[in-house]
Amino acid sequence: MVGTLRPDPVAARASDSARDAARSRVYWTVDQSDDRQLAGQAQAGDLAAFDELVRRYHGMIYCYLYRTCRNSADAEEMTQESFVKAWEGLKGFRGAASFKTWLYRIATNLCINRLSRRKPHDPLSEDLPAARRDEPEESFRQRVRSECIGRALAGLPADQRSALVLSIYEELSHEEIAQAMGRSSASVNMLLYRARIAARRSLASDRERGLI
Amino acid sequence: MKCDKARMLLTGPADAAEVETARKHVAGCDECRRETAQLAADAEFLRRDGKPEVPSYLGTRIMAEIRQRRAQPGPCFGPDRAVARLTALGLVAAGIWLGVALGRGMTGPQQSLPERMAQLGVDLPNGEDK
Repeated sequence: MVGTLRPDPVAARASDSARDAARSRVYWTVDQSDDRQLAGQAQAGDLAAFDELVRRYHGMIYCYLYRTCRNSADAEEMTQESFVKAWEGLKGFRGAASFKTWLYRIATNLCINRLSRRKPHDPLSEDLPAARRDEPEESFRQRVRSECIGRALAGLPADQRSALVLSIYEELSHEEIAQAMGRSSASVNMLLYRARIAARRSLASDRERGLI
Repeated sequence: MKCDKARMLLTGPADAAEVETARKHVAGCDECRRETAQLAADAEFLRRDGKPEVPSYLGTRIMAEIRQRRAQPGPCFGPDRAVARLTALGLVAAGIWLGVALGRGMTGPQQSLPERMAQLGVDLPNGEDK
């Protein structure tokens, strides 16, 4: 059975500032009981049911992974690996958490493992990015902003980065983040607080240099 | 209440009574007020980052990979893989147990040397059979 996608009424009620950001995004919610039904069918070997789950969630997982690792090739590869692992491990999905949270957990484990194994990355350039020829000012500003955000996130340890992305961009509750990361709610609270403090320092330095 | 704890309580879920204490602390602490306002502003700034573009082919690529692995002969792939692994593990354990049991059966029960010699009817030199 295929569920219906509909605009999320919660997003529509978002605060003014959040609504501005929401204009550039599309929010969708999917009936979770429907997800469980599809997952149940997939557990019985129904590939079409799993195909539907992939169709629903691959974009969400890709965005999460891209924001965490800031590399499209890595994000693609890890998204694929997440769904392969999900298919392999479907028997382990008991429905205690939502299917979406379960997927986030698989992706988070993959991502944290990979980021922890990676050599310390080259620091992003500290220089002001140069405007490209004929680049509109707004586009240039957006690029600079994106670089500053990338630098703020890249400076965080993998677990703090994942928690912050899940909170700010994926808009998961602390409880859902705790499930996705396999940690207690108090531990997630601490992770998020430390991540926000570290991101604030990085952004403050960019502000001092007039980048943002 | 210390500043750090108050700030943390106000940025995450917490017990209502603790949040109230934290609010009171922040209301009377200029530095905490500035810090919590800055944290909220920074979160808003981060939120303004554009949404990454999802490659249009990604869903198809994922399903192609799963179909390909599923079609491959050899190790079972799919939701039944965990069951298959457990079964294989069980078979290996049963094989080892059987091997050990058969080995013991061939050599007979563990006996001391005098017992074994007595069973075979061999007389031991004086003093050695005690």
